[in-house]
Amino acid sequence: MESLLEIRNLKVEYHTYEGVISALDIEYLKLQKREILSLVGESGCGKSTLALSILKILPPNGIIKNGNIIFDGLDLVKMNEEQMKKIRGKRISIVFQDPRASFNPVFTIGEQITRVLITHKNLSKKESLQEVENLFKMVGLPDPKRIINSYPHELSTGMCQRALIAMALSCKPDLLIADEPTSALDVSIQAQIIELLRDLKNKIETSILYITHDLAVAAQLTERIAVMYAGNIVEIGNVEDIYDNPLHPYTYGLLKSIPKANTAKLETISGEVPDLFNPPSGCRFHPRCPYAMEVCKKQKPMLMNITENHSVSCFLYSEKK
Amino acid sequence: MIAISTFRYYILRRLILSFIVLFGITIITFTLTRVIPTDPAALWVGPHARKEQVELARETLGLNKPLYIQYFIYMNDLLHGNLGISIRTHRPVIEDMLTFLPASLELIISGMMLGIIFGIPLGVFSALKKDSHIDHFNRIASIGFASMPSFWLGMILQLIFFKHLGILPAGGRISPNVAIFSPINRITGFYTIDCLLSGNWTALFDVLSHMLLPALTLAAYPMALATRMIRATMIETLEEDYIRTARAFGIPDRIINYFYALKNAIPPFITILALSFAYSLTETFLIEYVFDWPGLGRYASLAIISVDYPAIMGITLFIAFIYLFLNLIVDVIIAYLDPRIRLR
Amino acid sequence: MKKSLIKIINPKEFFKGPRVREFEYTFYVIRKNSLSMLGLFGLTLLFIIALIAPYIAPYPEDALGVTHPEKVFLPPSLEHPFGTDDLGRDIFSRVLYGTRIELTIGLIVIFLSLIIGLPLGVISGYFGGFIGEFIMRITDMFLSFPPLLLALAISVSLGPSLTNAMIAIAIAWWPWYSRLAYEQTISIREKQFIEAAKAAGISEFRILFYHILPNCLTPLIVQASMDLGSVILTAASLSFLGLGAQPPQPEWGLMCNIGRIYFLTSWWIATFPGLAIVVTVLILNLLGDGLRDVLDPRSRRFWRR
Repeated sequence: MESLLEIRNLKVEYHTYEGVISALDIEYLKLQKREILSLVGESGCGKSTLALSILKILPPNGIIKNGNIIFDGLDLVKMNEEQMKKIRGKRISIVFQDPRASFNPVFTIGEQITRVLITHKNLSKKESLQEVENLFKMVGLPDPKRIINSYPHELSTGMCQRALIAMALSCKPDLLIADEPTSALDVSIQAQIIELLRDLKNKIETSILYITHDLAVAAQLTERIAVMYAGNIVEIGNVEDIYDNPLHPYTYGLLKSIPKANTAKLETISGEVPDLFNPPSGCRFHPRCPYAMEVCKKQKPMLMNITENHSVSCFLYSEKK
Repeated sequence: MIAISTFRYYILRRLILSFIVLFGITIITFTLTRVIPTDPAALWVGPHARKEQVELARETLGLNKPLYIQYFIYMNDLLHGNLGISIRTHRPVIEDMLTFLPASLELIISGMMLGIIFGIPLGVFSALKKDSHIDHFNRIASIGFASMPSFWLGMILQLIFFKHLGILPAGGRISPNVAIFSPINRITGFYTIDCLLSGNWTALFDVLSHMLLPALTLAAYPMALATRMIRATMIETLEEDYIRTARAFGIPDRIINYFYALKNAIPPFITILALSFAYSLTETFLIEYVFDWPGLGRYASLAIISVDYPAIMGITLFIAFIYLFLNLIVDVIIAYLDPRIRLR
Repeated sequence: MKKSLIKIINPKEFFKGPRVREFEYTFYVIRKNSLSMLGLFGLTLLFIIALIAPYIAPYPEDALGVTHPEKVFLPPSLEHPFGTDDLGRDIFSRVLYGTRIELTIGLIVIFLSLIIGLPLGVISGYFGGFIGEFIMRITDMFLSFPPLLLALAISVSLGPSLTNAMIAIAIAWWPWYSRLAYEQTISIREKQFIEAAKAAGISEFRILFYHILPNCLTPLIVQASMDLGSVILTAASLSFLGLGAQPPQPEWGLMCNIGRIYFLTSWWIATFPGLAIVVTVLILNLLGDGLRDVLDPRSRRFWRR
C-alpha cells in the first residue's frame, strides 16, 4: 500500500516571551492509505502540535523550522496559505478535543456544516442540507432536522462530537486527524464515540491519525501505534508488537502503569515531564530512564527498524544492528 | 420551540425588574428635591419675599405635609406629566423640555452616527492588523480622544474653525439671516429633516454647518469607544476555538473575519450604541452650553447655573427614564442575538 | 480575642491565598507592557508635580488668591509660559497647583466609592437572600442614572462646593463597584475552594476576608484605575458648570469656565488648563488600560462617563 503521509525531520518551535520551546523533533513518521495510526503520549509531548503542523494552523508564535510533510506527493511545508486552504477540510480534516468549543455558538450546527460543503464542493444550500442529513445518519445522530437547526449549547457533548465528526467527513477527506476526540467526554460517551469510529473505519476510505494519551483506547481502535515523548517519536509498531514486546523503556513504563483489576500498587514512571525550553541533551528520556547509558546523554538516538513493522529510537538496540 | 418561550420569559423578567427600578428612581429624585439646604418655598418666592409670602408658598407647594404624602403628590404629578414649573422660565418644565428636545436629539444622533460610522471600521481594521503601526496609532488616538473634556474640545474646535479659519460658525443652530430669509417649516423639529422635506437647500447648508462642530465634539467619545470595543471583541473572538476550527476546515478568511467573527462582535456594538447615547445625553449639557445650541442640554446647564430646581429634577428624571428604557432594549436585543444569554 | 484579631489582619496572611504568584507575575508583565509603563511613569510624574508645586511654580501666590490687576490678559511668554488670566494670575502656576486638587479629588472619590461599594457588593453576593436582593435593587436604581447626571443633580441639591462635588460623585460612582464586587463574589462563591474551606470548618469571616475579598480586588482595582480618569473628567465638568470648585481655587475645570468668557480674545486662559486635564486623564487611562490588559485581559471594561 502506498503511503499517504510521510513526515521527515520535522522541527517545530514556539516563540514565547519566556523563550523558545522546541516542541517537535520528528525524524520519521509514515501513514499508509486506509490505515489507522494512533499517536500516544502524555500531555505536552507535542501530539497536538503535530496535528496543527500538518494542517499548518499553528498559532502565530508557532514556526515550522524545517522538515517535510509529504501528503500524497505534495510537500505541505512548502505550500502557501492559498494552496493549504484547498486541502483543509477537503483532503485533510481534523476533529478537536472540545466539540462544543469547536462550533460557533451564534450559528446553528447546520449552518456551519453546510458552510464547509458549500466551500469545498460547491453545492447549493438545499443539496448540502440533504448531504448533512445523510452524514448525520452515518454518524448515528437521530432526528437530523432538529440538530441541523440547533445551536451548539443546546446539544450534549456527545452529540456535538458526532456532529463534528460528520463535518470532518463531509468532503470525504483522505486523512482524518482526531486530536483527543474523547478526552472531554465521560466514559460511556467515550465508548460510543470509539465504537462509532471503529464502525466508520470499515465503511469509509479515510485514513485516521488518532491522537490520544490513553494507550488502552489506542489499542482498541487502531492497528498501529506511535509513541511520542517530549516531541520525539520513540517507538512505532503494530498493536500486538507494542503490547507483547515493548522496546522503548518509556513504552514499557506506559504499559506497566495501566492499572489492571488485580493491581495492588500503581506503577509510575519516575521523574517529571521535561522542560521544553531546555530539553535534556541527547535522548530526551534519559533523565527518567532506568537503563540510561553514557551515550544517551550525549547523542540523540536514530529511529531503527527492529522488525519490518516495529521501529524504536533507543541506544539499547543499536548493538543489535 | 423552547428557545422562544425562554426569550419571552426573559423579557418579562427584565420588564418587572425595570419597573421596580423605575420606582427607585422616583424615590431618589424625590429625596434630592427635599435634601436641598435652602428652603424650597423661599427659593420659589424669591429673595425679597415677606415671611407671610414664604408661608403661603409653603402651603401651596405642600411642603408642610408629612414626607410620604408629599411623595404621593409627587408621584401623582408625575403620572399626569406634571414636572413642576421652571423657576427661570416660569413655564411648565415638561413644556420646556419638549420644546428643546428635538434640537438635542438631532445633535446627539448626528454625533453618535459620526462617531460610530468611523469608529467601527477603524476597530475592525485595527483588530485584523493587530500590533501594526496603524493599530498602535489608533489605540493611542482613541485613548486621547476619550480623555478630552468635551467642553474643552468644543472650545478648541471653535478656536480653530471659527476664529482662525473662519469657515464654520461658533454657535447657534441657524444663522439669523437664514432664519429670516429662508425660514424652515417646522414639521418634525429636526431642522435637517425639515429642510430636506421642504427642499430648503440654503437653510439645509446653513444648519449643517452649524451642526458640524458640536457633532464632531460629541462624536469623539463614541468613536473612541467603538474603536476600542470592536477591536477588543474581534481580537478575543478570533482567538476562540471555533475560529481555529473554521480555519482548519478551509473556510475562506473573508468569511471567517467578516461573518463568523463579526457576528460574535455585534452584542458589544449594541452596548456601544447604548453607552454612546447615555454619554451623549449628559455630555450634551456641556456641548450645547459651549456652542449655544438651543437644546435640552443648554436648558439644563442654564437651569443648573440659575439653581432652577424643578427644571433640574425634571430633566434628571427624564434622562434617567430614557437611560433605563435604553438599557432594557439593549438587553433584549442582546438576548435575541446571543442565544446563550436567554438561558440565564 | 485581641490577639486573634491582630492575627487576622496581618497582611502577609492576607496574601497567602492563591494570589501570591499572580502578584509576582503581574509585576513581570507590567514591565513588559509599555503602555502601562508609560502610564505608571506619567502618574509618578504627576504625583511629583503635585508634591513640589509650591517649589516649582514661579508665582505660587497666584494659586492661592492673590491677584495682579496690572498684569491681566498677558499672552504666553517666557515670564508667564501659559499667560495670565482675567485677574492677572499666572496660569502656569495655577495649573501646577491644580494638579494637587485633581489628584486629591480622584483619589478621595474612588476611595469613598470603594469603601461603600465593595463591602455592599461582597455581602449581598455572599449571603444572597433578601438582603442581597435588596442591596442589589438599590444598586440598580443608582446605576440607572448616567454618573455625570446623578452627580450633577446631587451637587445642585447639596450646594456648590468642592467637597459637595466629591460627595456627589462618590454617591454616583459607588454602585458600579458594588455591582462588580457582587458579580465577582457570586462567581467565586461557587468555586470549589470555598466549598473546601467550608468543609474544613473555616469561619465565615475568614472565608469572606481571606478568600472572597482578595479575589474581588483584581477587577475592582482595574476598574478603579480606569475610573480615576473619568472621575477627574466628571469633577472638571461639574466645576465647569459652577458646581464644584469655587473661585479662587485653581481647579482646571473652573479655570476653563472662566477662560470661556474670554476665549476668543485670550485663548490661553482656557486652553492650558484643559490641556492639563487631557494629559492627566490620558495618563490615567493609559495606566488603567495597561493594568486591565495585564490583570484581567478577558474583561471588556471601559471608561465610564
